[in-house]
Parts: sequence; structure tokens; C-alpha cells
Amino acid sequence: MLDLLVARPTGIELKVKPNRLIISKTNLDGRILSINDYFVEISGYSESELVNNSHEMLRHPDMPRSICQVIWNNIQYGKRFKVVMKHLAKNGNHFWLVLDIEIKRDSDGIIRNYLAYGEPISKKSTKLFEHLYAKIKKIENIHGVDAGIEYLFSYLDEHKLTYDEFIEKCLNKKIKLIDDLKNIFKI
Amino acid sequence: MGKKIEPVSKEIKLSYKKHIVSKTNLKGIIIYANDYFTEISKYSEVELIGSPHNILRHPDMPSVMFKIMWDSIENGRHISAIIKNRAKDNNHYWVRAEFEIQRDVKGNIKNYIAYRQAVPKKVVKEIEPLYKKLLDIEKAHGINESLEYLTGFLEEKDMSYQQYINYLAKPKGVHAKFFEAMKKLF
Repeated sequence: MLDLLVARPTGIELKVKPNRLIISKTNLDGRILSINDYFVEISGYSESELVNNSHEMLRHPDMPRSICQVIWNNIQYGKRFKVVMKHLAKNGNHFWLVLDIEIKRDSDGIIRNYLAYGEPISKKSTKLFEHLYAKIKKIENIHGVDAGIEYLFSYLDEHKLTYDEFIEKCLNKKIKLIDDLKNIFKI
Repeated sequence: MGKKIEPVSKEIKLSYKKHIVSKTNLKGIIIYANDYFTEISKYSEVELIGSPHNILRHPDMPSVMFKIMWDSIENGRHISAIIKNRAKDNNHYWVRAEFEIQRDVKGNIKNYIAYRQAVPKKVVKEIEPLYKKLLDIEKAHGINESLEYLTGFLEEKDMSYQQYINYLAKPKGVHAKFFEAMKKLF
């Protein structure tokens, strides 16, 4: 059903402005609860088109299932997770963001929803991830998600990086900016 | 019936600046192959992953060399080896292979990571006749005989297998420091 509703990818990249706040909130089922102005603007959708729909609407078909599995493997257990994500806009264009996904719990400590902060990535990183994700996608299509995940972590082993170090290198600015913004807005 | 003429296998030259990196599980199945590996071997990641490593085995390689390698790394002992590999297009390339052992949280061996780099021509020239001799012995008498021959060969030089390999080909570049450190661990 989703395939009929979302646009076919055009291959055209939208540039994400730096220093703009990009936030979305999703529930445990992955449905969008809220999404801020700039995120709405760059996606080309209206807020009402996005809210209550699956966040998969915004996920580009080039995104490997392996990566989505790794995200889920972390956040379902309450682990904050950062990921570089290729997004699909309403018109089929795409934009890249590094998402810092935080876990929001209620007063009993039960996970209630996920808050994702977005930031643009460098041009060099865009090329790297296009290449890396394309490889992972090919591998998972033939050998399954486990093989795709194995490729990601072996790639990190080869380059002697932890996953966090790898993501850190992709940012235009340090992730500290998000923490600063959160302090300012008291989020 | 006309006899099919096989094209002559050409040597593929590796760059000293790059490494072929692969990871295999305990069963010798490839689970990771880096870009340079696909570039040199002409196999894609999809073709390599899930395949046993011996798809790259060149028929000129004596089995005893692989036996020595596997015996060593299965016991957690670092080893390096000079290997002739066969690419998808039937051309060949020589490498010096170094192995890193990856363990799980309990300390059990999980995977093997192999780093392969270029080997100088003079090393190939010296080792090629040895490998031919070992292969001939294997074809005639089997692997126990070729192992005996190799043992005798090394005794004559008064070197262990690893000392002989080191004498032939010192690893170059960044990985030299890495592997010197690795050896201290083992």
C-alpha cells in the first residue's frame, strides 16, 4: 500500500540547511506523533499528512533494511542511537540527515516514544554513505539482513572505528550542537 | 573436436598502498570483503559473501600451505603466508596474507580477518619453485609427504616456517607496525 502512496525517487538531492532545528517524535509503532516546521518544510508534506502515519513515508527506498534493523535493535532496548538516514521527500527528491534518536520514558521508566534530532551531513559523507548503503542493500537482498549487518560492522573493523566514531566523522559540526540547542530550548 | 585454447593467465599487480581485507567465519565462509578485494578478484561482494574462501584457490598452490595456515589460526596463533590466488577471470595475483583472530565476549574464536598485500617479485621467484615441488609431491604421494619435504627444507635453512616467510618478505607500511604489535599479543 505504501508503495502506491509515495513518490518514485528522482535522484535529486535536497540540501539541508545547517543550524536549523530538525525534530520528529515517533511512537513505539513508528508512527509520527509530531514533526517540527523545518522538517515539514524540507519533506514537502504538510504536518497533517505526516502525523499518525508511519515514519517509513520519509524513508528512502535506498535505505538498507539492515540499517533499520540495527536502529531497532538498539532503541527497543532503550539505547540512544545515531544513524545516517536517506529521506524521501514528497516529490521524490531526497535529503540526508544524521539522526540522533533519544528514548523518552514515562515516570515509571517505560519507553513511551522516540525523539529524533536531525542534522545535515558533509558532502563527502553523502558520497560515502551512498556507496556503503548501496553495497549493504545488494548484500542483504541476496544474503539477508544478518549478512548486511555483518558487512557494516566488518567495514568498521577494517577502518578501526567504533560505530560512534564513524558517525561523529560524518557530521558537518560536532553533535555537541544538538546538546547545546536542547539546553537552550529546555527539551 | 577442436581443442579449446585457454588464454594465458596474467598476473594482476597489487598496489602496495592498498590492502585486500576479508573476514571469514570458523567454517571458512567469507562474510566480509572490502572494495579492493572485489576490484582485484573481479568477484562482487554478493559473489564472495557466503562463498568458501577456496573459490580463490589457485591450482598451483600446494594444499600443505593451507593446512599449516589453518592449523595455526585455529589454535589462535598468528601466521603469515605467501599465497597465489586465482581471480574470477582466471588471472592470478600473489599476496602476503596476515591474519587477525576475532574473538567473542567469552574469548572463543569467532572470525578470522585476513589482510593481504602485494609481494615483491623476488619473493615470488624464490617461493614459486618450492610450491611447485610441494605440489608435485602431493600429486604423487599426498599431503603427508609434502609436509615432510617442507619440514626438511626448513630444517636445512635452520628456520621455522614463520622465520622463513619473514626472511623472504617483510611487511610494509602501517600494517608492519600493527602486526609487530599483534605478534607480541600472541
